[in-house]
Amino acid sequence: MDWSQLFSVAQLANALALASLLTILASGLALIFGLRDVMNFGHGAFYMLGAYAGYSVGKLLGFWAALIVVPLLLAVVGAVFELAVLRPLQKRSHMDVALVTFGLALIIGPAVHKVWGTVPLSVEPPPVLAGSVQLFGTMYPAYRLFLIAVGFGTCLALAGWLKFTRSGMYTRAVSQQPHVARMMGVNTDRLSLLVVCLGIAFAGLAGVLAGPYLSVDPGMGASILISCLIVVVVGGLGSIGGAIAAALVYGFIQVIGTVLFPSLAVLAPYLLLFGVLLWRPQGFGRGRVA
Amino acid sequence: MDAVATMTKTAPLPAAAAPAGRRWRAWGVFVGVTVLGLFVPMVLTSGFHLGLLINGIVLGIAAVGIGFLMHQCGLVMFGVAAFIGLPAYLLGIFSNHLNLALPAAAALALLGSTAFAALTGALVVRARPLPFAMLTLALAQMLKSAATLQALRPLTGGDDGLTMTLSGSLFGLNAAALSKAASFWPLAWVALCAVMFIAWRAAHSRFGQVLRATQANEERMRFSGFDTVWPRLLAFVLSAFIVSIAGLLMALHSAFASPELLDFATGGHALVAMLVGGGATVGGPLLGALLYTWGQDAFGATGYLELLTGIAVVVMIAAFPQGAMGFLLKLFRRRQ
Amino acid sequence: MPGFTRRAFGAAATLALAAPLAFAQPAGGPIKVGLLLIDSGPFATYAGLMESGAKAAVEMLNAEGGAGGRKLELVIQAHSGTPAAAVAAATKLAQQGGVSVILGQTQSSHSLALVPKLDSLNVLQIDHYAQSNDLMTKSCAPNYFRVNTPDALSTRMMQEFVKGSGAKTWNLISVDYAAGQSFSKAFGELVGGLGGSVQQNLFSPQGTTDFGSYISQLSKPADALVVTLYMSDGQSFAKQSRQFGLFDKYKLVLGNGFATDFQLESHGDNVLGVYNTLSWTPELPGARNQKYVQDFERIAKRRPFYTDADLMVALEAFRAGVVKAGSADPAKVRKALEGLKIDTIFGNVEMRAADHQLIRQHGMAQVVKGPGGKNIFQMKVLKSGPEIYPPASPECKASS
Repeated sequence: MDWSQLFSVAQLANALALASLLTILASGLALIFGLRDVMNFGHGAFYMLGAYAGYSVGKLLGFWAALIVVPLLLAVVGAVFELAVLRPLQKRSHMDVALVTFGLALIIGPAVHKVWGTVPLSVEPPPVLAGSVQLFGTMYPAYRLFLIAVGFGTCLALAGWLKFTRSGMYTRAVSQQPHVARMMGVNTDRLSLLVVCLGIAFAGLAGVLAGPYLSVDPGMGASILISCLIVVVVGGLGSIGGAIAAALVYGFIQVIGTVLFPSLAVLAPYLLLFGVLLWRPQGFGRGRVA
Repeated sequence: MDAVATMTKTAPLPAAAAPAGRRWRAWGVFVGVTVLGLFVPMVLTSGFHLGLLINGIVLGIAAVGIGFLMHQCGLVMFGVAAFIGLPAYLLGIFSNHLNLALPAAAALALLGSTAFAALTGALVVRARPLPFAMLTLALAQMLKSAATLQALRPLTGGDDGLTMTLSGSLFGLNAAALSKAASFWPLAWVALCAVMFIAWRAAHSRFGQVLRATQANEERMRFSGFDTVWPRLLAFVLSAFIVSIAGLLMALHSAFASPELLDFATGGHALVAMLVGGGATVGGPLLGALLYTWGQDAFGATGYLELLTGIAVVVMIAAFPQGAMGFLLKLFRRRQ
Repeated sequence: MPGFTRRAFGAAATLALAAPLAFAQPAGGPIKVGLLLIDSGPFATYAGLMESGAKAAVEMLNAEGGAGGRKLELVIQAHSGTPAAAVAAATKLAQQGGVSVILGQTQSSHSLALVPKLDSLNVLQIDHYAQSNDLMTKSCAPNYFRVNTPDALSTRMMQEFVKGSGAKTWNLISVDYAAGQSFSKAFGELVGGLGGSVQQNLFSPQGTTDFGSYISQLSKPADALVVTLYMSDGQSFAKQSRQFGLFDKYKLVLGNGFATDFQLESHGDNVLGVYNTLSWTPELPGARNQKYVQDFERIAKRRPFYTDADLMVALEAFRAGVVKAGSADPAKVRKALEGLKIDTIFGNVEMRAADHQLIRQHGMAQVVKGPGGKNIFQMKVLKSGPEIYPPASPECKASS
């Protein structure tokens, strides 16, 4: 058992890189759940859409432009999602809405197939991030460090928005006490629109970032959805801070698992879910958007 | 909802005390339909369509199981695949490796799966609905990982699956008869009727009332002196038992088990079927399962299976808030 | 309760009335060929490729006169990708579609589930996709034939290559799956037998997206690296390895199903220099092969891959059997196919009677920069079937 393999800077960075991507995705999912009480099973599909759009926009305008344009595009998609799907089904049961989002995922998948084809796509990182840098004695891919930076930055930005802006405050209010907030004059409809757009834009951002990091293929949405759901549930439904913490734990467990218990590593997320929920049924966070 | 109202006055008498004439008539219809159904293979001679119908009602059994849990307790079992795949694998392991003949292997498979439900239910049934759903999903995925573990490959066949050699006979059907649609039909049909009766009876009993009341207001039930965990655990085990019957039937008919049976996607079929049909009645999930099976077959022929399934799911859920069954019942009542 | 039972019965009756009747084929009409496709999940990616390849092959063979004057007609059935769904789809093709033979995206688990049913469905399967060795040993059946190269052959090819490579220490990374496990075991034994050693033997679960932690472990290099990762796992690994500069640390990188033909474009430069087993390239010698490539590019508007070639040969074999038997009846065609020498785009190859395997070529190729800057496979070693196929296993009871 090579312990140096486990406690190296590279492995730490690996865990953080995976956690960063999950953080961005899970935050979006947690936001939508916290505010709208909807478990969006189409989140993985939006992420995939973001990755494919990132490929096309990246080809046309370059990676950096894609990083800005694609989340904006996905925000528009999010607006359509909120107005055409979530709002009309507002009065329906959670299960029904969740199943509709699941149906949406089944529609977006083949649609992506049709437009971009079925062969996995190759997305290159921008030249400045393509190589490796010296990191405490080992060479480590620059792109992953960039990913960690963006993940960290998004968390800070999100925390800042929630804490210091008016709309952020409204979001926290509505997620904790929707009726009271509405009575106090918060326009929940407009807020829902904002939050859903933001959540889906995050999914798009994660998709663009994933392009040079993971494989861009039609199965990418489904595979990351389960991880994302686990992270959100472990983090405490709707709690952003909890989702971030859960993503970090998830990243570390994956890395440790692959080194220590390779065959059982695939079980690690589920054991995490079981363990956390049995010890603390509401998850890490203090529940609701916090 | 009605259960809450009844807390303030004496609970209505369960069906057993309804006018005797109506009861006898209901029983007559039930037995009549059960017997009549046995003759379906004579009408539906195409082996292919009978096979499709069998798939439909077996999926229906699974859907009824999870529909019961959802309607009575408000808990959705995402990991329903666990109780479809587990009895299948147990049947294969008992038949192939322990050389048990059919009646024993099938009974033990069912027992084992139900026992697993009892053990894991004790852990998960206390959770809130969404964590519960995720936990059952985690259970199914863990079972799937176990089935593909390299160490257990001699037992489970690993990724390639387990082809079963079934010996002996179950209710007079040997392995060959079980694999043919026409001879398998009676077993599947009787199982369906039995399961629907069990689900209906459990729902229309005090047990069902307690469950629905707990779903409406758990705290008040506890104040009133009811244990709120045991009934839910019992409901979970009953639901898993029903789903296990479906899994066992699938395994008996195909004589094959593979890790995909434990995958979330397999569970997805039953879930969609249940929700499309409507969980509010016992028959809703069955209708949903028949529609779903027919749809999968029809859509598959076009080559756009996933897309059409997605569109159908969205349309059905959006357009029919009470499911397909609810819609049909409303139509029927409006005519009257 | 009466409400639903009435409806359920009504549904059954309606289905019965709607049941189409005859599915026996009129003698002399077109011969129906069933094609199984997976349209959801990760494998759906390749369904489109298989469909266009099949349509092109059928068109080409029909242009040559079909099978004994009868045209070949493709009947497609897509399914969700599980073995049970594959069996259901095959059942539908046989009972509803009236097909005489089944082809398609049959993964090993699908073929293994299908083989016991072929007899009762009265249909042949000519497999051009599944690689499990069990299909030529204990899971043989009279109605089952295979034309593509099984796992055992790829392992054999790699063994030859390993012997000549001179590498002493090896690192392995394989998918934690039956194929990956059995390969790494066989490979470990081979390397040991040659006096070398396996330093690291890593397994990653199928569906791994982030290989960082594996790559970090593999950064302690040996002479050579063997990668048994498929499809999107392989894509992610290749992409991330490039970012870590992993392959540069090794003298030799061998791929086992890793760098495949149809993924070469999406791999880009990530797999330059990697060797991988490859059973066919468009540059294979032979007039029939050249004609096939030209016609294929004209009809399908893309370059053919080895999967297209395998499918073409499956149909060529079926045609040869039908011609020899004088009928499309499965029982007659299977008898005709045993021991038959068939003219295919691979050349003149034999369908071995004892285990129903086509004794055809296999090779080892390297990814190089081709003319025009595109990455292509360059065949380095090519062995003919008789040189590398193991003898038929006594476990196989296929011969009728």
